Amino acid sequence: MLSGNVCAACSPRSKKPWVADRMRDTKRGVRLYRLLLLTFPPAFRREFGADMTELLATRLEEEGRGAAARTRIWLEVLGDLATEVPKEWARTITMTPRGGERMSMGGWFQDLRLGARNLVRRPGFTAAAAGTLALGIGAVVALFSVVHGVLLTPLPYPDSERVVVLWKTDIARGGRSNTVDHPDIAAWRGAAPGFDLAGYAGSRPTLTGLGDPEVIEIARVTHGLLSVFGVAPILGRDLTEDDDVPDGPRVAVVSRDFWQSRLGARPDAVGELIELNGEAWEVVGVAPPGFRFPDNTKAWVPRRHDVSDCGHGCNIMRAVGRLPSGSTAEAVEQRLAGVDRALSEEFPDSHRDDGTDLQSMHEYLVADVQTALFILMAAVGMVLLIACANVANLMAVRAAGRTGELAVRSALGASGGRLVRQLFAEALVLAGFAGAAGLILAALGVEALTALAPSDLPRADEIGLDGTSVAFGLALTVFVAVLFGVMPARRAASTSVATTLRSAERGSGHHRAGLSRGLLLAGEVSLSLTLLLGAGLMFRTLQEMRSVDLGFRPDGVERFRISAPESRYDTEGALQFFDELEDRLSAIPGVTAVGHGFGVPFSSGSIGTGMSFPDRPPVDEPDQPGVSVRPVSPGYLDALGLKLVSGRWFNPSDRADVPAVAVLNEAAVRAHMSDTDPIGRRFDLPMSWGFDEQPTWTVVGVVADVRGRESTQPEVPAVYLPNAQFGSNVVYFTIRRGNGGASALPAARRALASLDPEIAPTGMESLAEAIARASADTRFYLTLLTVFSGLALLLAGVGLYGVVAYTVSQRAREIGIRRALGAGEGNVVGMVMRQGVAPAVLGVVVGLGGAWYAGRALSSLLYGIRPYDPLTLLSVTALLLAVVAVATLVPARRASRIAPATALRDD
Amino acid sequence: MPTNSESPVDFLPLHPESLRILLALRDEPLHGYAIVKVLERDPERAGRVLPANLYRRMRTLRDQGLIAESRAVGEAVEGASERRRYFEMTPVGRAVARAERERLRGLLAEVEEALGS
Repeated sequence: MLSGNVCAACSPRSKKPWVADRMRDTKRGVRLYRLLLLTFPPAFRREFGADMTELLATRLEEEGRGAAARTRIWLEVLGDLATEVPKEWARTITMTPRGGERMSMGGWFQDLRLGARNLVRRPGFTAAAAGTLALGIGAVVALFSVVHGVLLTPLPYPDSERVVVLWKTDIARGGRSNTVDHPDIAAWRGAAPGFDLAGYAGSRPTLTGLGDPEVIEIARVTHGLLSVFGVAPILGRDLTEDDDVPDGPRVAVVSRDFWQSRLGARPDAVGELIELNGEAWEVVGVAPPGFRFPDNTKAWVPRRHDVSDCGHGCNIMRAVGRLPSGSTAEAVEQRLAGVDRALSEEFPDSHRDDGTDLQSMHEYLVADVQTALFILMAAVGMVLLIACANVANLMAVRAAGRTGELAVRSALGASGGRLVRQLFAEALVLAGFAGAAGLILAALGVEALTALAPSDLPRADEIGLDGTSVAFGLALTVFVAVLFGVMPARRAASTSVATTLRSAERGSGHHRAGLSRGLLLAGEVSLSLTLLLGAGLMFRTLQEMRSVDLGFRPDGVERFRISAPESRYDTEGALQFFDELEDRLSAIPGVTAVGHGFGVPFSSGSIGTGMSFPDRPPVDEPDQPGVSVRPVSPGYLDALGLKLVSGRWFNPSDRADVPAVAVLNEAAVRAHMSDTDPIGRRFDLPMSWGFDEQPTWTVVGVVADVRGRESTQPEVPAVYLPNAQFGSNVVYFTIRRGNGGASALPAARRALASLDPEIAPTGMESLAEAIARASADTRFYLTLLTVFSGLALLLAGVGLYGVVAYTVSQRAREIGIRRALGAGEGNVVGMVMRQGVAPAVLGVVVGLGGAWYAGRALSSLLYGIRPYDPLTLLSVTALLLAVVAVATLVPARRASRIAPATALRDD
Repeated sequence: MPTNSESPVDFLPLHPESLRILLALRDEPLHGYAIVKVLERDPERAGRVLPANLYRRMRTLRDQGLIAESRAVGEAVEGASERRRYFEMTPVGRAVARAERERLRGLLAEVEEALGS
């Protein structure tokens, strides 16, 4: 039925990661690792840091091929640090300054108990600190569960890393496509010993005879698909080479879900007949649980392919393979290259410049979401860092408030190490509270994420809070405890008793403490700015996407997809059936226009081919200009709201028995016929659908471009053909309603059932819904980045407020004296605000640098705006500064009301 | 702090990972990545030897006097300002490894007596 060079889903041009990329990544990785090593006690870092860094660099260089491999290495490294850094600190802290002597475990338990008691005694402080941390930990663990389920867990097949996707590359022109032809598969099969290979193509026939008719996903496959994945039927047999011949037996392997839901899970279901598009297929086997490849597939049937129908260059299948054990993708690629060379010599028309690339199935499935998930992971990581900085500040403030107590205890004989350990134990207990609460939040977060996630998120069913995620959460908790517990503990250790007592007496803060608090604040502000910019850019992207001119009017348009089964409808019959259905749909009250067509905007499925011109010198097929083919009915123009630019549109008399006509879109005119007036020009397409002849088409009109699969993608060159002259038996019906009418879909369903009750419509929805779905991932990223940046802003604001308020309380006496000496309210407000504003401004400056990185990382997710969009940058900076102003103004105003007498009373 | 006055038995039991590091250094001094390569010859552990864990264990072994930095070898690494550091097994380390072997033998004998071999 289908012939010609069809590319059902050619991918955009892309290249393999180059070695240079890996080297750059390694360099970047080494820099990051050096930073991470700062969390170790200095002595250990000085002694082993360089060796450890070199070890990591070698590993990244030798094993970091592909983003998935690098991610795995990094996660292991982070886990390694999360477990070893606390141990090293615990060891350092429990050694007394003179070294050698270790404290007993009993001492540790005592300190943990003491820490817990201290925390419980101050529920306000504890709730604020633990709550802050729990938010950060919860967010990180929830997102880690997604990353883990989608990116890190191997696919659920035995030795799944050996499963690969085959890409056909064009060596001369670059670019690649994952559709191949039948002879390719046959030729590749023998390429390398032990290399298993299978081809497949999805199909959506209507299942009848078992309750209501239903369109189900099936795959038409060559033999050997299950063994490529290393699985075997749990019942009956697999499809064999003998099934996969023209006019072979109609047999099917069904999924376990199908076997359970439709065949009652009966062991004797093997041998039963199921009816697909009106033809009977015998069930010969049941696939193992969970096997649904390529997409939610319910049944696998042999292709029964006739190569004389669709042979070399008829690229309508995809191919998957299983590498021989012990072999590598490169080795197999080399063998395949030999096969490709032989093919291109023998069949230069269809195989010239062919090459083959292998990509791991895992990478193939997750490639689209990888970047976005990493960005979100980085974003939550920043939220956690901000939370840690806040808590570190809180702890430092507390420790400063307790210097007197600590000094007295020290004077009474407690060693410095003992005091440090006590503070550290308190941090551990606090992190423990936070970790427990964080895991609960993470469990809720995972549910929210899976509910919010766009429906095309790969492997979404494998996301969950499993043991690994929990372990990650626990390691993270300890890591966090070290991060915020070390600073105050070390400061307490470094302060001499005499200094502490002297300064406690005077009631003034330490200069160094103030400095590190300021730096922490600056860090918080800069991270917040980075996150805010990310959210701002996504917001602007969504706005731009919404304001794109789609080239048609989607309001009030509804549609559904049907296919007229070949077993009951020949081409003429299908076309007549579609016309009758169009008449009935037009009769529905409120409907103003009805049309049908294939390759319509925001739908699945498209037909691509090369075009040639009888009045130009012939070109080889691979060099022919490509077009998208859109067979449509005359009513389609009005139903979709397409704009006719010149010439005429189709009318009902454009049928198979009159000269074939075509309407181009503007993109096709620009690309292929910009030299002359396109009207009246003629072209050939090396394909047809429902008819045997391949007519020469004459251009009669030009229509405006439409946005197709996504509103962000520019229109491709396309030709519209009357379906009456093309004969597609799969179409989308498009129904336009008058203003404000109720949905026409229920009536449409009845109209369809009255014509043919055996045909099940799919994808019944309004066009607006389909368009919204196309931007679902952008909205998902926007939602998450908004939540994260909002959280960051809140935490930074609270942190700023806390520090300034603390400073005010510490300096109350000094402020009182200043007031007594004549300082005005304005002077005091200004002086106090500087405490918060100075670090905030430093943070903004640093944050602008971070924003530059963030913009670059996000650039692949953006549309219509530049990563360094000045307006977005200005607005988020203004928002951040407003929060800074409020957070510092409140305590500053309070300070300005301090009465001069306070200075006296405090003494 | 080398504590050579202790008996090898005082160091037992050795963590299996520490024992493996010790054994990796039995013939010749090695630097960190070479030790990793030796440890990862066991395919089960490929990619599982991590820098911080490794160097913390090596530091402990060094402090216990079971391994020592080798002064004899050392190669300049191209582009790096520092030399790779090589570690070797000390006589104490060898004695401890043997003692651990005896301990494990004893343990295995107990298991075999209980469950049969």
